Amino acid sequence: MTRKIQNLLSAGAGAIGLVTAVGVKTFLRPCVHADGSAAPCAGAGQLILVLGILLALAGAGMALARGRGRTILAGGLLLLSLGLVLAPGTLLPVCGMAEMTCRLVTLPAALVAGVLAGLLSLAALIGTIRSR
Amino acid sequence: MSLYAEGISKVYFRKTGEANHFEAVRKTDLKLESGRVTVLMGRSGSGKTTLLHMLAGLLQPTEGRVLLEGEDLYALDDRALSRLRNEKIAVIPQGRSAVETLTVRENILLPGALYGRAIPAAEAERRMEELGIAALADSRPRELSGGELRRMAICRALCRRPEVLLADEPTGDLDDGNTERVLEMLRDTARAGTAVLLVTHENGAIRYGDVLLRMDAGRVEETVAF
Amino acid sequence: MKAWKLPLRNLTRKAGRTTALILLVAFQALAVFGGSMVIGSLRNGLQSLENRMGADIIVIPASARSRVNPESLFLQGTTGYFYMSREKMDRLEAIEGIEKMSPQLFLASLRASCCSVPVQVIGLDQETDFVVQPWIAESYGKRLESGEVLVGSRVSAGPGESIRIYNENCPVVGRLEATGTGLDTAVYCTMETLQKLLDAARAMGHDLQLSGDPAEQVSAVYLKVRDGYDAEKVTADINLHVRKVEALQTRSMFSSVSDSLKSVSAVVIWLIAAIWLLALIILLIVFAMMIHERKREFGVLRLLGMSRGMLGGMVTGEALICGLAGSLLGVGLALLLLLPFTGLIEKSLGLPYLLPGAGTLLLLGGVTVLLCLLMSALASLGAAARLSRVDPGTVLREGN
Repeated sequence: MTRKIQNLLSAGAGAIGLVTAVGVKTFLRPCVHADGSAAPCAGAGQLILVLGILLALAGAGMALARGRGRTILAGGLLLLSLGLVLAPGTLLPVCGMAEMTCRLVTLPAALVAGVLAGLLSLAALIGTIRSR
Repeated sequence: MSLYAEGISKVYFRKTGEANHFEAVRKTDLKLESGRVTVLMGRSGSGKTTLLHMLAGLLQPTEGRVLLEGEDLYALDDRALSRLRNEKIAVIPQGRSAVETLTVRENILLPGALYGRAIPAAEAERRMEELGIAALADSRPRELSGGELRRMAICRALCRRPEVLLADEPTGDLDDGNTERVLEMLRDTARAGTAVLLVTHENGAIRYGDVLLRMDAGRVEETVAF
Repeated sequence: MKAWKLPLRNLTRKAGRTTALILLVAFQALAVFGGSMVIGSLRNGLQSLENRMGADIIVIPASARSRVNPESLFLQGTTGYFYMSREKMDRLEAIEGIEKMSPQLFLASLRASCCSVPVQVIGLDQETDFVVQPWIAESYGKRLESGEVLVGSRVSAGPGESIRIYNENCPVVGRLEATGTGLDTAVYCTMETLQKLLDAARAMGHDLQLSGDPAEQVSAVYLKVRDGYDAEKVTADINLHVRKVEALQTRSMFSSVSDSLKSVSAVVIWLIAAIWLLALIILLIVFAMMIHERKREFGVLRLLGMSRGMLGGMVTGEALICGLAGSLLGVGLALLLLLPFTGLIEKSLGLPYLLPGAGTLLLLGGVTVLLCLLMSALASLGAAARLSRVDPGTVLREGN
């Protein structure tokens, strides 16, 4: 696998992270109580934001990385993606009711984004290991 | 062992143009014998390649028969003819003839793989060495020059140890040294029992021939036996 | 070098072309599998709704409509409450053609243990209930005792926990099976428990617009029509003879659901058809272009002794590998996109939505893969047929 393809795969994972990070502040926003107080899923939302930004940075960083750094970066992408899958619900709680926005939108979106980014990162990771 | 062409001709019908048909090869008899190199010379457009394709079982003649050991090639069905072509007839065509998705070595071994009669790897290595393309064995055809590709096609044809070898301008894009080497290899192949047809317009090739044919405007004109 | 490896080699060494082909097939598989998954879930939802709603007629107070839309209350789980006097049931007794009758009492919780979505609390009369009881029998199998509650499949608290409704702690003793309808977000208890909750709510100062003693109130009465009587006629009789109530025929509620289901299904099916037609055209063009581009390669392979059949087999093999990879990718993507978002789809469609079982999904996936393989094979066979008419000699000349 050429470096270009590895970079493309990582950039794809990074783009998914970026969309997720922007989304969690806009169209994927988790629940807010009517009185403005923090809902139980607020922490999970913050974590998704951080993971999304890190994914975007690591994905872009792949274009600059050399040698062993590429493998480490690709491994990092994979771990961040895994974090995205686990962030809502497993690592940090979401709201209890199935009807809440965080359960309907934020959690499934993070899951899908995490799985897709994870698959791309895994392919990039295998590529960097095999080309070393 | 001999390949015998009995009154074959090829007429192309055109949809447009002044003449509505074009006789690429006029009625011709031809015999290629085992152990001999037959040199076929002629200007471009004289019908040499068409004749060669008909002899190879690749192009159905308009008239006549092509017999290999008494068997009419064009009376066979596609499956049997293809298999016979694979086992007995090797062609070195003009132009690029590499399968682009395979490496040079895989290209050379491919004919043996089609019907499960593998070409010995050592044989392939030895021939590649002789032709000076051993270093390119794992390269892809698009990385090769015209001369290198030509030598790959020659190597592929020789490794098959065919009964009939039909070479269409095999030295067209080779330098003098390589031309000599290839012509020698073709002659050695004939000496080992193959019937060789060498289509060329290089006069130097005559020295390697046992029989010389000239072709002009679709007609095989004179036959000179040395 | 083995001949059967040739298709695989052709695909891996032309990664761009292969990726495009696989993505195209994946898109088709995604459309047909995802689409039939949605349609299947909707049908399943309607079926389970019909199974769950054993009543022919539901009677509610005439004033209820001003507070909540009864259809969305019964079908989609919108919360709401309204009350009428129990004596209406005596009036109903007088109507001819009623076989069974069972009251229910509703209450909407303000705030459950978590977050701000209220749940519908439904009190059942276990002596007469014929609507929820069969469902409870499947999932729980015991009688509900006073104070205990059963929860729908999508309520967060589970057995062993308890939920707090109007400051009353209610132990959860069981969870009901999913129906894909609003019934899944409700909490079920006995009439007595609900009456206690009503008292508690009133004690907290909530005006439930109750007129009188909670023990004398019902919210809805479920009726089953005797064989030989027409539910429509009975409904009309009730509306004519019993004052201040509205009788709703459940079949007409279902038919509104099944009408929406039909229109959603139609849109999905047309969408699938359009995508497939488009993809088929693209696939045919791609194969035609590929054959044209590879004419010389095919000529060389014929020269080396490949028969027309072997060449066709190679091209079909390539197409089938792309078809298999693409369809598996598409089915996987459809599952990845649709499974997590089940809740959102149900909410935005506003229709009962119940995912088919794993077996059905597996079968559906298998059929999708077969369809995609069939189409890839057909597209390549057309190309292979055209290919076999070409004389290798002519092809080799043209390439020079």
